[in-house]
Formats: sequence, C-alpha cells, structure tokens
Amino acid sequence: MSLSQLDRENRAVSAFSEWQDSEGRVRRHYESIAEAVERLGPQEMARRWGAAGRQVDFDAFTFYLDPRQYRPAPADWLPRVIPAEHWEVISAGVTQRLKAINRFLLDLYDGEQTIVPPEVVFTSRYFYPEVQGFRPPKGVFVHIYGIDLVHMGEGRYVVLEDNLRIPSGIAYQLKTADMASRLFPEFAQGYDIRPYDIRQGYLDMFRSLCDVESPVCVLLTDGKFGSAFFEHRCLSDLLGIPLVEGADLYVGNDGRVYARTLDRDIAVDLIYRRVEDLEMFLPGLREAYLDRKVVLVNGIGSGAADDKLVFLWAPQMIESYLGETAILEQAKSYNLQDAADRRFVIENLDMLVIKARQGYGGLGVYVMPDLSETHRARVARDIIENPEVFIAQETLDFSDHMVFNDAAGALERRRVDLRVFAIQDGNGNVTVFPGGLTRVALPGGRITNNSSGGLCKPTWVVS
Amino acid sequence: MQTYLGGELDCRRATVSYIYAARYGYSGDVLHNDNQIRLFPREGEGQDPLRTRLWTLPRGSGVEYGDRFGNRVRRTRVVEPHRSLIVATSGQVSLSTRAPQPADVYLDEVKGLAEGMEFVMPSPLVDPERVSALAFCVAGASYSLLEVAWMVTDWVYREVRYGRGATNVATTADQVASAMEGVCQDKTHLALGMLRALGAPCRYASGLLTGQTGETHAWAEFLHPYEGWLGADPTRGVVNPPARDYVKLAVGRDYTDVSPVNGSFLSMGTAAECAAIASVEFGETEATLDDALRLLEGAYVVRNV
Repeated sequence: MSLSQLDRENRAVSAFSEWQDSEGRVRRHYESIAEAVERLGPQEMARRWGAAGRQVDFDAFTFYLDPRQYRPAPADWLPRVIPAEHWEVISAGVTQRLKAINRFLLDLYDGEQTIVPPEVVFTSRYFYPEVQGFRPPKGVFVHIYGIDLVHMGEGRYVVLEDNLRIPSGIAYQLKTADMASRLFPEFAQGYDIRPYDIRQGYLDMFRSLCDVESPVCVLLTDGKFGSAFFEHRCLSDLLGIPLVEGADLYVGNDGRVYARTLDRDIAVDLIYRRVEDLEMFLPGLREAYLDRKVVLVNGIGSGAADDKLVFLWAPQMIESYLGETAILEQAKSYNLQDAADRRFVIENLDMLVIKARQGYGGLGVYVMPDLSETHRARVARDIIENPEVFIAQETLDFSDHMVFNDAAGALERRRVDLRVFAIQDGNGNVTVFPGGLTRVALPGGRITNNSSGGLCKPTWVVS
Repeated sequence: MQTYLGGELDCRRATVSYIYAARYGYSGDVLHNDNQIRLFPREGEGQDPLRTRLWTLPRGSGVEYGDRFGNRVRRTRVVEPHRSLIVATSGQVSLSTRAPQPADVYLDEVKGLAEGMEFVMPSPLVDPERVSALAFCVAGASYSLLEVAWMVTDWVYREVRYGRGATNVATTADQVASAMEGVCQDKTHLALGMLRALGAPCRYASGLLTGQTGETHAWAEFLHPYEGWLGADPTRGVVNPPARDYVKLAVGRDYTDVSPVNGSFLSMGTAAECAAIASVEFGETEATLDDALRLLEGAYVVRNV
C-alpha cells in the first residue's frame, strides 16, 4: 500500500499544512510517522482505529453534550508534532501572558487599573464587585490557564482566546497522548518526546498556595452529568484527591469548609473547583474564600479577564505590567461598542468571525465566510441590534493536519488549533506543559471545540 | 407670596427633587442578583444633577461606569440570599426652563451625521423597515426635520390610544402599530421607528415627569444638526419641550438600552412581582431611604411578571 492511495482525499484546506510542504512532501518531523502509516496500510489502520475506539469505550473516555446519551470523546490518533524551536516561543509567550493577566486581575480588584475601560471590564459577566479589595492567597488569581492558539505556519502562533475560569481539556491532552503511545507505539519510534508531569505540577502548586505542610485538597465537580465529568474523575484519580459534589461539603461555624466522610468531617484547605456558580453548589463558600478560610483554584473573579472583549487589551497588559512586548501575537479584534470599530465591522462583516463575549465551547461563534447568505444576514442583524454582546475577529487561515478517516480508509486534511495548559504557583512560577491538546475542526470548518464536534489529537513536543 | 432667601434668583432654572423606588419580589430565595442600574440623572442638555443617592436592599457591592450612550450606570451584585430586592434613588436636579427654539433644516442635513449613525439602524424593539409604509403615509410629504418630527409625534399622540393591557416591556414598534394602543414606552417606540424610517436619527429617553407622582416616563429625542438632541413626546403630544419637564435618567436606541434595572438572578424561584413609583416635586427637599420606602408602599404592584 502506498501513501498516495491513503492520500486520495488530500485536498488543500489551509494554505499551511502541518503534515506536508507546499509541494506535497511530508515535512521532516513527520517523516517517521508517515512511514509507519504507510507500513500499516489502510486496512490495518482502520482495524487499529476500531480497537482504539473500543478502548475509549472501556475507559469511559467521554465528553458529554447531553447527559442522556453516552458519547465517547472523539479522537484521531495521528500525532501532532511541535518542533522544539516552536515550543520555546509558545512556552515563553504563554508564561508572559499568564503573568500579565494575573497582574491585571490584582490591579482590577485591589488597585487602580486603567488599561481596560470601565464600561468594558465592569460589564463583564464574570467581574464580581464583591471581590473588590480582596487579594487572593499568594497573589494568584489564575492558577490553571488554558490558551487557544492557531498556527499560521513557520512557527507563527496566534492567540484566539484565553480561558481563565475553569479551563478544561488537560485530562484529554493526557489521555489522548497516553492512549496513542500504548496503542500506536510505532508512531512514537525515533522521536524524543518531551515529558511532563501534571500530577507533580498540580500538587506542588496546591501546596505552594497553602500555609500548612500537607494541605487537604478536594476537586469540586458539578456532578456526573456535566460535560467534562471524565476529566474531573481522571484528575481526581491522577492527583489522589477526593472528588466531591456540593452536597459533600459544608461551611462550619468557624467559617471553614468541611468535607463529610464516613468517619468524620475533615477541614478542607484547598478546593480545585470545576464549577462557576459556587453559591449554587455550596452556600457560604464565597464568604469562606473571601475570609481566607479556604483556597480556591482558580480564584473567584478571574473570569473578568476571560471576557472576549477584555481580551483586546491583553497586549497593553503585557506592556504595562511587565514592560515587555507580547511574544505571541493575537487575532486582531474589534470592539462593537466603539463607533469606528463598529462601522468597520458592519462594512466588512463577511470577512470576520463574530463571537459572543461570554460564549464558551464554540457556542456563539460565527465564522462569517463559512456561513450561508441567510445565516449571515441573521448574524448581521443580531450584532447591529446587540453590539454589546459580541466582538468581531479577523478570520485566520490557520493550519490543517492529516486525520485518518477510517470509514474511507484515507487521510484527509482538517484544520487544527492548539489549547496549551499552564499553571502558576504561589511563588509566581509558571509551568507550561509541553504539547497541549490539539483539536480538529469538522471537515471544511474552523470551529474545533469538543462541544461543537471537534476531535482530540495527541500532541508532542520533540527535540 | 414668595420670599427668596440668598443666592441669585434665576428664572431660567428650576430645581426639582425626585424619588424613585422599585421592589422586585421572587417566589424563592435568590442566591445572587446582578444588575445594571440606570437611575442617575444625566448631565448636560439643560439638566444639572446637584445631588444624587442610590440604595439597594440588600446592599450588595457595586461599581460605576458610563455606558456608550453617556448614561451613568451602577452595577450592583447582591450575594446574600433574599426574596425581594429594593432599588431606590433620590436627588436634586437643576433644570433649564427655556424651551429650545431650533431653526428648521432639511431632513437631509441630519442623515449623514456621525453622531446619528447608530440611531437610524434597527434596534431590538424598533425595526424602522416594518413601520416604514406607515411613516411615509403620515409624514412622507415633508422635507423639513421639524415638520416631520411634529407630524410623527402628533400622529402617534392622537391615533394610538393610551392604555395598558395590549402591550408589555418587550412589545416592538410594529406590534404597537398593529395594536394601536400602548403606554408611553410603546408610543415612543412607534415614533422612533417612524422617524428612523424617514431618515431622522432619534433615540429613546427615559426619566421622570416633573411635578407628578406616578410612573416613570419615556419620550423620543431627534437629532438636530445645530441644537443637538431635541425632545418629541408622543404621549403628551409635545415637540421641543423645555428640560424642566423631565428628570432625564438615560438615553439609548430603545427601552432595552435604558431599562432602569437590568440584569440576572440565580434562584430556584421566579420573579413574582414588581412595584415601582416615582415622584418629582419643585424645590429642594432631601429625601431619605425611609421616604423612598414610604412612597413605595403606595405603588401599584404587578404580579406574575
């Protein structure tokens, strides 16, 4: 079997392919994987894909959209390979951005921030006035950070979004890479894949935030019907911390948070929370946090900087707080509340991406060039009527990658993005986990979120 | 007999004192209640706020900012469990008593103004296209801005019956045109739609009627190339009223931009009732929260909102 047969769906999707150069030659850092694919051939590849799918079922590796319906996390097992020289830039850029955003939040809640206009930041849904005057433990608001990047080619990575509230996906990064190495060992042969230790990183970070020797930490989930419950379960196993729901916790008379166990109730030092509306899950938790009786990861109020309109000012945050220029560029974005921006957007609507300010999971994202005429008119109408709800962004021709279509027995090109995870500890040290979660868009599309049907891909950084 | 003690007597200004209070009742405990409150008098256009106070019960925490229409907004988040939220405000405002005497201009002269761009476009409750035929029937023959403003205002004032029942806060301009009945908000929306269809940039103003106790009021303002924004009140049938007629609280494209308390709450229950009342008197009296609460006792309560 030759690769050219596998390759019959090889139609260009983007101007830049991760897998091959413009002449169709496989790029050097993919040569070894391409050879393995060729050796396996389409039948064997399809068989392996089926086996991997069964393993996903056995492990209950899921991403739920509807709690009534079992839904395995869709994955493609051909790895994405990031050359080390690209990674150094990504890693430095992510670190810089995380530090600047955290400084902004400290300034916003307990300082005199003047970078983002008040009518922008104070209308962010996740800006919480009651946090004003509060400084989180060790001065860290954002402990876990997920940043969405796209690759424009030749090592030029562009930021699309910051996820600062309860970013999900790190367990998907871990699980996809782990399954790929077990089920497709031939792909990894000959690569020096950069290792990382999420368990140690998280636990060290938790410890650095608490003033006791061995803090009691729990993971607060919104329950088994939540879309990322797999991740909550997986992280609780990995970190060795109890998985709790709101009903397992209560706030005691001393203002501390307690977890009910079969023997006795245990005071909790740190809650790795995976829910946003805390008071719905545990009344009194906010007060306990603001009284410094418990540490929350991430801090309450960090979502103020998660707003897609506040995003526009991130380069100024980097300049003002760190005295540096941004290492990673970000998608050019437009504020529809500004008269000049609004005029530009209305005149150039067909070229832009429209996003809801508070949207997540790819919901409320409209890639105008990819929409039908009638759908476009509807979105146009919506942003004219409700300019305060949306932002506009340039449409990027970001990279594509090969995906194996097991039904057709062929490779096909689809766009990919990259969500990178970083953590920040109580000493202000940032760790960026090499690789990240590569998400694959639906055929022909640009939206890669799992909630919108995207696939996960194992992602390696190689030297 | 009047005795004026101290200061300079200025018959071109009048000082008024206002109180506004609203209560929102819920059928279950509300865990958090996050609102943007637009209840501060605007500055300028013949109106100078002298002193303003705003309370919420429970108290909550808040921030203030100016929105893109220049309205002063307080965002308040109440995070202690509650079954009713009270928003109250009081203050004194100095108002101009002079009615503007604008020169008439061609309608075309306001069409290209950058300031008016946003105010000829469709907004959530006002789609000019849907009342365009009506607008041209009523005032399509005129090229004069003031004449068009007068014809539309007067037509809505005379032809649309004043009454509640046919409409609610979400009724659109074209629905008002079919029902031909509504309150000040509805009449204003219809007038805005018609003026926009004819090419006149115009905005929604909300506030309180001076010398009265009762509800809040709404009227339209159209853009004049030299005088700025001028009033057109289709509920009272008045064009170019003096600033002293109103305490102007907020302006926007339609009601959705200016609603006095706008936000969201988290609760197992629902919004069950709402009561609101406003009072504006001439003179400088200082009203306290207790005065506002007393006033609120006499408010008309709307249930099952």
